[in-house]
Amino acid sequence: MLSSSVIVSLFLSGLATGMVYALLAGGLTLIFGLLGVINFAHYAFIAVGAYIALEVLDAAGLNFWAALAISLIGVGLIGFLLERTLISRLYGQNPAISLIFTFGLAMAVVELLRMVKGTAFYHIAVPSALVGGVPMGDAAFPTYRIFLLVIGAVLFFGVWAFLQKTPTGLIIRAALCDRGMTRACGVGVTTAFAMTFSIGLALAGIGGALMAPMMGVFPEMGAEILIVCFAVIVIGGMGSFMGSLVAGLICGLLSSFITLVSPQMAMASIFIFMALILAVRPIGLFGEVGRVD
Amino acid sequence: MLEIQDLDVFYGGTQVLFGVSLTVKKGEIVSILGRNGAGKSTLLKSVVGFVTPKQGSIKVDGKDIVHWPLEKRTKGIGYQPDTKRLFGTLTAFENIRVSALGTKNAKATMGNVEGILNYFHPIKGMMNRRAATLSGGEQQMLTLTRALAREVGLILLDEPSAGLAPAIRDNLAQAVTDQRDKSGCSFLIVEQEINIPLGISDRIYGLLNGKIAFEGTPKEAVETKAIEDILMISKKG
Amino acid sequence: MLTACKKYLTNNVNKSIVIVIIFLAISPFIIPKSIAMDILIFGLLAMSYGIIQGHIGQVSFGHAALFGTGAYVTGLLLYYVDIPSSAAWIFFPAGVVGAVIVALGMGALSLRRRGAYFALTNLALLQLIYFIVLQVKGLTGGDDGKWGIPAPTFGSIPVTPESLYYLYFVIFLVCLFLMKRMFLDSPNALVLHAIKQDEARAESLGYSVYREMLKAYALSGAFAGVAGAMYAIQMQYVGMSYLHWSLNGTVIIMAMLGGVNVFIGPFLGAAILIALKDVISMYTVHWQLIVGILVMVVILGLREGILGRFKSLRF
Repeated sequence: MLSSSVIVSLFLSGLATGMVYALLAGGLTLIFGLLGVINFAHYAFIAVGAYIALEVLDAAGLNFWAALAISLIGVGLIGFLLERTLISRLYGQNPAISLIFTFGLAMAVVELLRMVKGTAFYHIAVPSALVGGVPMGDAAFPTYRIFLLVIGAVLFFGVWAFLQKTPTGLIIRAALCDRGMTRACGVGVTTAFAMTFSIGLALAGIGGALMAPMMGVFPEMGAEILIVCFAVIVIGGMGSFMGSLVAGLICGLLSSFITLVSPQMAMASIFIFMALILAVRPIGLFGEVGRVD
Repeated sequence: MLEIQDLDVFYGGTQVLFGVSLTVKKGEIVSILGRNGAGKSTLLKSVVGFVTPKQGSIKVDGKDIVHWPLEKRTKGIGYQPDTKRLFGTLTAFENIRVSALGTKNAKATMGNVEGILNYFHPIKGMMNRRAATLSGGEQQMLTLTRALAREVGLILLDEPSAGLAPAIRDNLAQAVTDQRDKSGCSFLIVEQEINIPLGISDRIYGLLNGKIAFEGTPKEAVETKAIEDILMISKKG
Repeated sequence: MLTACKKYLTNNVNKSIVIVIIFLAISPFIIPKSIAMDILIFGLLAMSYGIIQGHIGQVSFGHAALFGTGAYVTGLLLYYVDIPSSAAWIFFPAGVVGAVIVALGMGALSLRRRGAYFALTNLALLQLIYFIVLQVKGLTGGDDGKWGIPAPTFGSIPVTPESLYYLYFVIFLVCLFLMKRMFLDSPNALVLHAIKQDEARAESLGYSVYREMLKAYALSGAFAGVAGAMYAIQMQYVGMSYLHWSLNGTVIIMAMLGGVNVFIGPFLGAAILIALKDVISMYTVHWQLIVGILVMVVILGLREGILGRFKSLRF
């Protein structure tokens, strides 16, 4: 039988993993919900964020917190530029177009990373303040994972507050419901679109930086988690930011507990859950009935 | 204020509006009457910009807006769509606020809200509720408030009385005339119901199968029996 | 006879098919044999995907499941089952049957929706299959895959790269003509295209949209299964990469590059992509950067793919 400390440990671990899923999926879902773009390139920018953090730490010699902040802002800026120059050309078309375009973008970006930094693993050390663990039964629960949970929640809340309390956020939420009517109210949506892509990508970037101390930094690091994130946005509801939080946490917990059986079945269970949701409630847990254009 | 000339509009390969011309002067309340499918909504959508005419001109305040993007045109226009098109996940208040952001004077628009809500008092206490949770009639009142609060010179209403209780319909008529009297705002109202158009309009156009079939005052419309004969609408109680 | 040929060739689509056939017939003499083989197999795979995106009109993220199933069923049967190697050819159609069964299963679930939901349901099912195959590593070899799959023989004569190629060439021809018959020339093809244009109307005319799409999806699975079985025998190896989601991306790129609305478009896309990768790899290991940029440029510039601009080739 599992001791209670193991259960709590698994629970917290699942939440921490789930929070990372939620952050990454949150960006994806906003981008798909508002822009109608399936952003395959998300996985490349997870790595970009991690590499930026790496450079900030190694080359610039700054601390972990600076690395996180610069990752977030850096990838956010890249996102803004990308949207204005390339992504905006994909709007209003067959989703296959944005899918393949962003797939090509991802290929190019990942290869660029390989060219610049090579294919080897880099390491980012857990910052000293977060080393060690909280004692739990026989073992200790890593402090860094608790940090992940906390910072994830902070970031999520930050984006949520932006969406709820700022004029641009209001416009984004309105355009998520009905892009055409938003424009018919005299409200231009180009800035909203650029901000959305920027925020989405920024979340991917900082997600990568946050994951780096646990999994190392290498160009393909975002690939496997991206597919899980697609499952998360389907479960949560495409376009629902809060939905990706709930769905992300659920998937994190599923993955954490079912890993006891086998890691493969843990992953499989997420996709089984996704298939179930698609069969029973295809708009997702928090999905809203179709957007009007 | 609004001048439409020789408008031809197509949906795909099918022509919906044939050489439509109409005007709305400053401070006028003009109604368009017609059956379902006559093209009334399409006409309003052309002014707003959801539909691009194949040819013809649409001038607002003297400027031809046919090639302007939606958000540029509607800075000075208010629009209440027949399908309501509320922002479902936003609160009622936020629905109006988004619209205010799109006007030249958001503060003034928000300032008008309280006054407009006096006409639609049932939704006064619902400003913090999500729009999708409101009933059909409440949503109609909200979409009207969203349009009427705007500090603009021209307001387009597409079947504004649909789903409203009779008492509120009277309030609506009052709201429109009061707004026009107060600010000189022009109105172009599309209706299937004759009560509001006959009650408060300065002029009426009749739209039949995509063409203007009648133009005149409400009095003339009734006297010449144009309403019954050409427009084939029955007077609803 | 000559006039019949000439008549056949006035049609641009037929011309394009003949070009493909001639190219495949002589390619082992003009390009390296492994490249020729890759073009044949992946050309077939891309065309099988083209059925889904071109004829049904939907994007699927699950196609790798059909290729992988064909490969694994054929490969594992060859590996484990002890029968005379000249009779082992029977495992080829077995792989195809396996792929069709999986396609029916996947399609039955995913075709209830359209658009992104269809694409993602297929992805979920692919991932499921991926992790199940990974899990059952005693049977499938898991992450390592299974090496040393014995190839069937022609009686007592073992296959050589050349003989295998030309056997596949014949199979490819059969598939090509079947595909043309089913998706271009038959009345059924017209039904499918009508459905692609306007589902509601097709339904109102009495066609069962779901059934027609499922049929097409299953056929697409069959051809993908053929490609998978071919690959397993040629490589004498099956591995998780055959079921990886990134293979979907490659296949979709191939199909869209050439043009999904042209019959042989996906084949051209496959040939170009493989050739490009090979050529660029000679100069730099970073061919993915070039291909990635190329994809972006082509998609922005030529939405319908390279051949898509020729109206006479479009269906």
